[in-house]
Amino acid sequence: MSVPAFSASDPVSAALGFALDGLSLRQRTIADNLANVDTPGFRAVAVDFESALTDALGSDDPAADLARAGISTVAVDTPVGANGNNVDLRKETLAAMQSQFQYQMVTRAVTDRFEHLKTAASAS
Amino acid sequence: MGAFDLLRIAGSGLGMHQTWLDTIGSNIANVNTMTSTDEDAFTAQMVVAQARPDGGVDVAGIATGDPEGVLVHSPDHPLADEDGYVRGPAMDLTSQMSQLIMAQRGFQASSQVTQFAQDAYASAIQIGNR
Repeated sequence: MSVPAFSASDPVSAALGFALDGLSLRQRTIADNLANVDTPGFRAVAVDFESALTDALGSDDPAADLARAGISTVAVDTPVGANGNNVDLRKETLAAMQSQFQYQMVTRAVTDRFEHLKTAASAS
Repeated sequence: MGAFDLLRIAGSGLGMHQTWLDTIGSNIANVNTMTSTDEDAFTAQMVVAQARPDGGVDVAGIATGDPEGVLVHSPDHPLADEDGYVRGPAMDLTSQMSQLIMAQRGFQASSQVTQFAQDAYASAIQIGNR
């Protein structure tokens, strides 16, 4: 059974693509939280793509599952401060750094995957 | 959701905090600005921040303090009325100074995000390069 290169049926490419989507959305959300760190009444938002990714990777057809899976954003329900704002500056800054490194690792892994597929395609 | 949303959102955070810093600077500069009792006092300006529905933050408006101000007894002041009073701003310098720190921290946070955005875009265009 051969897997065509660059097809969505390659579970590794699908997983990496899903992770990039999730991390992009997480970075956007962190940017939004930090831009609104002083906005009265603003509630922080968090992104969860890892649980959907874990579930899909444990299934029979990860690529198909990931194509259907959504990335969920949830309002953070930590206690709010005096002006109704619950953005935690320290937490968001650390999350920004972490997702930054994760993003770079995943882009690196995408390149590696393409190298693999190229090698497989040129082997005769 | 645009390709450069990260920068747009961080830019809006920088903009709002910049406006806030500017108004605080003006408020603090005028903390001792006196007017005659038949005029309005200098009014402190307060930035009203509002989250944008598509991400980021906007300056929704500028609220002003009480034009009544406070009456200050200062008979030597050139603007003093016959009872020796002038009108000063009803402004709390302590509050302005602590807001200055908050605005500065918020500005720094969004500034950090622009750096992360640059790194993310840089690594995205490296996909496929060895």
